[in-house]
Amino acid sequence: MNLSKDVLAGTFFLIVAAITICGAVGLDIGSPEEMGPGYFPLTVGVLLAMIAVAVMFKGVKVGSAVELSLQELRGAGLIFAAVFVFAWALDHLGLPITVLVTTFVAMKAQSQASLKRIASVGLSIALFCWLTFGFALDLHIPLLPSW
Amino acid sequence: MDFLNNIVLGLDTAFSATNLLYCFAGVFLGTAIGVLPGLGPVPTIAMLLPITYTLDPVTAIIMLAGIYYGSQYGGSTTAILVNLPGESSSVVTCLDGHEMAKRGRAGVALAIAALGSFFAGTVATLVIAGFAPSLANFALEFGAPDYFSLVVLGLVSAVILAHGSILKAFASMLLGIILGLIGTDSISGASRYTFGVVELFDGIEFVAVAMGFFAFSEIIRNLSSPASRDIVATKIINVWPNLSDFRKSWKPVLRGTALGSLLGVLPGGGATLSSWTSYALEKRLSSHPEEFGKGAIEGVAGPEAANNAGAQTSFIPMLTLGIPSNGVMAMMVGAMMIHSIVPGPSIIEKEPALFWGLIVSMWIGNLMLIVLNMPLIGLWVKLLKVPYDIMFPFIVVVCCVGIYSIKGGVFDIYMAAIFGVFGFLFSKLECEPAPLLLGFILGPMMEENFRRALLISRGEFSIFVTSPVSCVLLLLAVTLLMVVVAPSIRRRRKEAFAEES
Repeated sequence: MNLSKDVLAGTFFLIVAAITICGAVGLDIGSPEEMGPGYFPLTVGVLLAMIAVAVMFKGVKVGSAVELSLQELRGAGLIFAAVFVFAWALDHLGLPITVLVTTFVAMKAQSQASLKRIASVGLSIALFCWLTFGFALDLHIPLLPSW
Repeated sequence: MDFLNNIVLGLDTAFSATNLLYCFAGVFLGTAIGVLPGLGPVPTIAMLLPITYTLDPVTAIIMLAGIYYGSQYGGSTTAILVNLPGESSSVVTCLDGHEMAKRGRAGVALAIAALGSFFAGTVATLVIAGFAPSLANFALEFGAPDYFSLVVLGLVSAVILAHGSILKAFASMLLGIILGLIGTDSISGASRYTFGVVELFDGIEFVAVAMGFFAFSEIIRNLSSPASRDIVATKIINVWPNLSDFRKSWKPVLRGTALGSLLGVLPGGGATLSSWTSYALEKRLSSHPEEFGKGAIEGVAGPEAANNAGAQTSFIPMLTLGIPSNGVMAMMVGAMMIHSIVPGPSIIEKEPALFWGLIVSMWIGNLMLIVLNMPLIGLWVKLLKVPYDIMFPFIVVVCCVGIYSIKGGVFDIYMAAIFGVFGFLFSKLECEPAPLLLGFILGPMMEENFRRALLISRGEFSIFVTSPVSCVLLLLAVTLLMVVVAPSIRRRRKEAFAEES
């Protein structure tokens, strides 16, 4: 499917503008002299909506399609998965184990990594983090697993 | 004698053992991350920000400035050795620097870049010391409408100077403002766009936005474009430029310094604009323009001096007006806010040790760059050879730990991941994230002054043109917009950026 970059970008911005405007309407708008919390957001939202429509319009006239390979999508997906895993695991597993798991997920983003390499890289980074963030900088990060 | 007293205070602050140590550490780490291909100053600062959390604010800012110069110089090193620019200001250095490296003159190119940068840094530091206090004094008189118009000018410039479509840059900036709205409204106390999420009541964490849009999406971009890493010079034998090199370079360095110092102060200016302008100028002035792009040393000396001068003087509007002129300065404002320092006209009076210490540190940082880079080039080359599959999980983990340690909670890591998805979307749709960052930083300031100005004027919008300062600033913003939107100039702008990409 060929989707123009500008049409997609315009749609994205239009959705954001719609959410902004809906949110602003629910707040007190007020008058220019005494603005409520909704006045400025409403202005910005309307402005964004107008620009979004202009971007879409431009995209319909002349647009270049989005290029996205499956490999790229897999890479991106796994990196974000790694970050989510880190956020979820940290409070439960402690830093070193979390780092190990995160590295495993992240390194899967590059398909050629062997299990042995993943393990050695993961262990080194885990050790580094434990020593630097746990001891040297003392950032108050949970180190041991706890449920 | 005021000036001298201030410099003495600055020297006093900067030369404390701790500050020297952290300035050095900043320059070192900044260069180490900056040499990694594809990592420009913004992701580098985002990544290293956590190291400064536990430091005293003055030390933290000094270290961050060091990180900034280091990453800038590290980017040039990569540009010369691998032809992979970390950020747009290094693209210029690629043109002739990499050609020099191919001809076995990598060492000379690196040395001229370092020496030119040092000279430019020294001059620009003096410019800041002389110029910033008077600008701050002037800005102390600014009222709410003036501030509002200043923010408008800053945002308009950022949009105009972004790459690619101006419309999308505009949308990106507005999206930044909207993200900045999230949280509790400071005047009415109403919670806006929090969707009942308690963690959002204080607003979105700046670092989460910066990491998501810059660091994480940068990693993905690098993953998908398998970097061809043909490092030209594995052994750099000759580091010292000869007499003819110096003779060819000194004028470009002088011109670059002047250009950079000037362009850095402008809203939307900074390192990138400076280096491009300098390159174009040198090519025009040269008696042998055909050598440009084929290893002309003038094409390295001028832009490198200009980008360092511009990087330096872009601190002026950030420190004295509180208006960051580009993405890097937005990072610096964000970093300062974490240490609860609010940049603005009163910072020189309220925090003289911070201000003057930072200025003297800028010079020391530039000196360290030379001391560090001439002998350590071998180390940076080794670092360039570390396989990316080791590097990127490391970067991901360091970023996550950094976000966690701001508030000691995992919520902001989730936020950063979400912004990372948006950042990826942005890069696929060719939207620039830099205006978004500026909008996020400047949005709250814009709203506050907008509301205050109209409260003073009893709802009369004419206050923005009846106040002289505000009127001039708004006129400037409108003129800038007109100039860029005008078709003939838009064509030329397209050409200028086509060279870049």
